[in-house]
Amino acid sequence: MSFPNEVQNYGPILFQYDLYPERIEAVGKVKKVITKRGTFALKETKMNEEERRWFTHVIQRLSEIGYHRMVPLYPTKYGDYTVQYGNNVYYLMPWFSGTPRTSLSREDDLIGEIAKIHVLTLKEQDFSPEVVEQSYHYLMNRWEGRQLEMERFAEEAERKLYMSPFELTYLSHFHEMMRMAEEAKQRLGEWYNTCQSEKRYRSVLCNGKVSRNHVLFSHHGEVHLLNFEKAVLDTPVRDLAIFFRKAVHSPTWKIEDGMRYFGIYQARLPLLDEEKSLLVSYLSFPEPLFHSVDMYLNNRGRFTQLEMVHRLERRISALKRITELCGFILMPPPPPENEANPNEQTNQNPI
Amino acid sequence: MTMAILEQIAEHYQLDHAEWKEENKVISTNLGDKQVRFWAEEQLLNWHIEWRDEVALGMNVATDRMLRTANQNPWIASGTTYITLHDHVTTTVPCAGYEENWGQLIGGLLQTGIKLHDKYKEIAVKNDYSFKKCLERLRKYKEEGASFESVKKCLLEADKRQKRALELTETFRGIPLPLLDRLDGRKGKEIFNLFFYEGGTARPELGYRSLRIFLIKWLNNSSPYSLKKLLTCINDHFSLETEHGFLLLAEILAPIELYECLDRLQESELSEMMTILRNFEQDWERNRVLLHHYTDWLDEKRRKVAL
Repeated sequence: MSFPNEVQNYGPILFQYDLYPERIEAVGKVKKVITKRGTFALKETKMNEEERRWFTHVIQRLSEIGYHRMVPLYPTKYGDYTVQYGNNVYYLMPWFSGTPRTSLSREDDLIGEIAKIHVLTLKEQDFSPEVVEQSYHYLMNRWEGRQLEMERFAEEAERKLYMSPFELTYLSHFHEMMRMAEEAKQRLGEWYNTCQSEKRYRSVLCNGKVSRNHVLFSHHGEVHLLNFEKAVLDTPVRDLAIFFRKAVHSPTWKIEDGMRYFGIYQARLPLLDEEKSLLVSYLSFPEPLFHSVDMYLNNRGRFTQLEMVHRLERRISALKRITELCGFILMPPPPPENEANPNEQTNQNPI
Repeated sequence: MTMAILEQIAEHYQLDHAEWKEENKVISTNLGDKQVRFWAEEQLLNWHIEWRDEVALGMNVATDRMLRTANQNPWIASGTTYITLHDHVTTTVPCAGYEENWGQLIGGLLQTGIKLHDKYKEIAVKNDYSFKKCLERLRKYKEEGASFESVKKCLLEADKRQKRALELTETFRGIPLPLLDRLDGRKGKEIFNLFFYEGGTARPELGYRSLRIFLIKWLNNSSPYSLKKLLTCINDHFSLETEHGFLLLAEILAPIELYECLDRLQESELSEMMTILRNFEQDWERNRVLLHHYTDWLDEKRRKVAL
């Protein structure tokens, strides 16, 4: 789609790159800018001054530490990596429209790149019991609060003579949801106890918005990641939880896919036991279902009952996939080959 | 020499094509026309880089910031001289109708001027005006037998204004004054609907003198309504309802036009004196009108707060 007016609207921004567009097309959330000097992607977003600085710092830092698989940002002719105009912030990138060089899926590429970034930015934090305690209590309180809200919704639904299809669907899975919420809390407790006893906590640079839509391929078919606007220093589990929550929604999802993705990540950065507990905890808490209830309560006019029920059912089925995946994540790793037969090992021991 | 500079510019800024359009001033390149500026003093250059960058940050106005080289440097060195490259914009804009743009720019300049005060105050041009010196000069003319009626007529009012200006500056002593690049209405331009301001190369000026001169010219070229709108727009980005508004008032009150007139008379031939005195009368009147409208605007603001 081409908008002649957009050439004029984006003029003040593109002027800062000395670009004079021949045509601008809207493609998803970016603008494809076609000029005599080449084709570019212009992203429009909202960021405050601090977020702009952090975003620029992240991009430069990743490049400095040797990660070159993010879609690069072009500086303006004044050396800025972002441009503020009106209430929006813009940044310019090359237009990537290549096809993958390998036969790997987008998810395989994505998890591999996320793992690379985590490895490059991994930092063992100075252990602070207060910080861990604060995080634990914050999350636990939040989850308990959410559980109470959902219990209240279930009670109100039960009191009705005629329940809506949405309420009926919700109630028929309510106990399973609560069981998962309890499981999440238990795993969070395990994470907290292990952190306190082992006195360790690792952080990495998280992309913060992991999505298969942010995987692009250069003209040479090399995978590149887009969008580090929400990047943040946090536990590696943050990105993994976002990744798996989205991945299970794929219509072709199989547990084998989840096992493979987890394997790709583990091969680069094996998670510590407490991090596995935290991942399972994040994944198990049925927030997506609770969110469907929020939507049902707040947007009654916008969606039909049928749409709301379908949305809830999709999330219930995703949560079932998550349960299966969590079982795999918590499985102890197979013992190394030389430990496979204890007798053999004993025999080998000269003592 | 100029060819060597051109080659140096093309290499550092990675230009495919560059040729002089106006020797040592404007070059024509594959990325459009660019202005070339030469700087002898590093600290002065740094001031000009910094205020331009600061003002453009987060604002919907552009300044003629230094273009970055391929190494992201804002200048290139050529012997003991620094060379900078800037956009060359030629479409000028009038005052009226552009109050918001000018207001945003001036608000940004004032904010930046205060922020950078400590860093660059050493290179600033300071206000050398003194009413005492002014009276001394006048006494000297009197002794020589010269009597300037138009000047004499203003003395009483000048004295009152001077005293009030001194009271205000005394009240707000210690408040840092902004450093400003000399404001010039002819340097407001437009490109792609973007307001673009072309800065100068001179030393920064300490205080509100530059703004006062600009406001007098603005009023002369537009209307009191436009002036008040401009003041409101400046106020949206840099509050003139604080001590800074009063320091600007002090600057407008100070009878500088009288001092300047006497200064010019001292160095002039008899034939020029009439013109200088006529200009003085005009300047005196214009400043009175500005003072009237500025105090009026301040009162309106105060009334709004009281309501």
